[in-house]
Amino acid sequence: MPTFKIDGKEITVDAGTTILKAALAHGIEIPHYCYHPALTIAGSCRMCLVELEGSPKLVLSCATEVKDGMVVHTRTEQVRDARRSMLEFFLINHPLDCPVCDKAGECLLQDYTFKYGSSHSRMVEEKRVRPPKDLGGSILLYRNRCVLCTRCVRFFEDVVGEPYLIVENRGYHSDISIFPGRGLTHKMSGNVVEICPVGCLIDKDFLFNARVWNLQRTRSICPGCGSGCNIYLEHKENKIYRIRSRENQEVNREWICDDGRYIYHAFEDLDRLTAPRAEKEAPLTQAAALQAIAGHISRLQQEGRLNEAALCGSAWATVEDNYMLRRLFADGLGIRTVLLNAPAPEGEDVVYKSGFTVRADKSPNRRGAELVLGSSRELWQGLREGKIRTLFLLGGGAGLHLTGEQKELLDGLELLVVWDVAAGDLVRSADLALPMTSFAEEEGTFVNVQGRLQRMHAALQPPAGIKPAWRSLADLAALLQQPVTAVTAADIFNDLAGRLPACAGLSYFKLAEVGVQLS
Amino acid sequence: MGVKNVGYRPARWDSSYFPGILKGMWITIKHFFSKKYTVSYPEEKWPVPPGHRGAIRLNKDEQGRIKCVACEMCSTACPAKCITMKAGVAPWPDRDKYPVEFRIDMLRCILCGMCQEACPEEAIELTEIYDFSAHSREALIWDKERLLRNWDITADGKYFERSKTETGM
Repeated sequence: MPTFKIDGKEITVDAGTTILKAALAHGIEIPHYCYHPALTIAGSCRMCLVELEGSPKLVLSCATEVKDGMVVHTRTEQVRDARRSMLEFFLINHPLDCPVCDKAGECLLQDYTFKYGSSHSRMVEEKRVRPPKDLGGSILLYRNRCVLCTRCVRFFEDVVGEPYLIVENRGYHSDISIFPGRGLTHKMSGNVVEICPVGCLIDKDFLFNARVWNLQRTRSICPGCGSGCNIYLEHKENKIYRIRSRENQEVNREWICDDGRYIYHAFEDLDRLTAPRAEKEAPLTQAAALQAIAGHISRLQQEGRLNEAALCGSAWATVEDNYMLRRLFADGLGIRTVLLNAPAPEGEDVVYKSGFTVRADKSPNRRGAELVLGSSRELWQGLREGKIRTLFLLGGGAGLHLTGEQKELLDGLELLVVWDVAAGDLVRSADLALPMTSFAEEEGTFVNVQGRLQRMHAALQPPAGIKPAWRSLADLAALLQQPVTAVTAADIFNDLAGRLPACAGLSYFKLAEVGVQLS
Repeated sequence: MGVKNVGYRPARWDSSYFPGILKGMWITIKHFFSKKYTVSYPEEKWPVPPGHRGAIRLNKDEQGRIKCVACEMCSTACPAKCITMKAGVAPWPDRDKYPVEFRIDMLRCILCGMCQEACPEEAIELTEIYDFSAHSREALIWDKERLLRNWDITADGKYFERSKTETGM
């Protein structure tokens, strides 16, 4: 374990650690463009130069390993001068178009120029102007802005394992380019926009939509597949503008796939179920709908037909929604038949070089639903046996389409009560449908395929009148005089943590930002 | 507290009111012949000094296109948060971004001029227009067209020479 001195601070690091990594880990900022913790070292941007005692020239801190007894300085006049000169080189042809650049506000060239650069330009010559290039897919390449850090090129080599981008030509004529005849349509290509330190790679989906400093960030979990990638929802005025990856070394590291990156569009123009609805009738009030369900349940109880009823959890709904369904219908009323509504896997898991996986299971919470429901059977299998007459079903899968057989199975029921986000096939088959909140509208937890329990926060206000499913279940419990109370999702989670051995001792606070691996 | 009686009693001449009336008439007559200050507003308008911060305009470039590039610096700088805009891809080959919608809520605007200072393109400016009251709240939420019209009537600096029908104010 070598010990070295940086800016007068003694630091001991693991053997093989570079000066830059050690400095960043100890709160000493060294500017850098080409260095990225998840990519191989390129050493091309020359921004991270530092002074090493005993070395005749400044050294690259990203490519120099720490040796015992090294003495490094990052704030000397020589280092400052080198940074200023490098920035001057970067800005020779960089256009002054921050006002129209989507990266402005989170741009490293902007930040470093402000911090380390010169306040005026000595460049009197005309700047080189090269038109933006459409790389295909959803990426635009603003070539004027490029600093040739090659992060994007290395991303495809190191993380995806399939080279897509290259540096074309040499020297002054160097240019990021794509292999001829190919479009940047790879499922992981959205990540290059995030790792680009300047505004060279721009996402068409976000182009000119908002300035980044106006967006609010909310921590969430991607609902696209079983991986449970950690994401930031970036939103403004109750609308999501973009999704960015959130680092979690245990799950998705720094990446997300494009299916997840643009998933919010699927929820934007959803035909929402906004009020409870009885079959072919005008919308009901929430209270009337709950009264109707409670009436039916007490009728079943009087006739001793509760064994004909079943509850069905959902792999799209949160742990809290599923748990509330179980607490009310299984634990409270004693309904024994438990089903699970989950999609069939689509193809195979897709694994990239770095281990990043896009799962075949396209539901975000199958493990979580299984965990809280206990032993359950697949929905359609359970219905085919024909013993179920009444079904309480949690939907939540946006854009779920039913086959003719599935519709028939649902139509054969005496009573079908559905909680769902969209007025889709499930709602059309239901005798009584109740609305529930959609993705990003309510906090809750998901369990990913690895068994990691992760928390997401609410970013958006649901449309008027729409409550989370657990809340209408809690209201129903009150009507049926069941001792189930919950005011917030956290109450449900605390109750669950007290009852399920797998979650013993957990709380929202303990889940923090990275979640907890369930044993 | 008692009131002290100073014991003033006007002389007979004074108590006839003639000296007071004459003095007053003298001042009135004097003003008949001096320079007139009254402006018959709104037919006539008092031209404000340069630098007056009145109604906002959006400037046009030499080709008559909106100068604004929709960078949102003005709305970021605005302390009243009265500027909203929606950006889009510009229809001109030499420009990237332009505002598809641009709205200023003049009910909220405090005419501080921060937007003008923040603008990197000199595209938004405060003008000499000081009387822009309206009969409804909706009429005071100005869109892009309205703000560009303010440019049309003030750009040449002859706003006060224009007639009421010409300016619409």
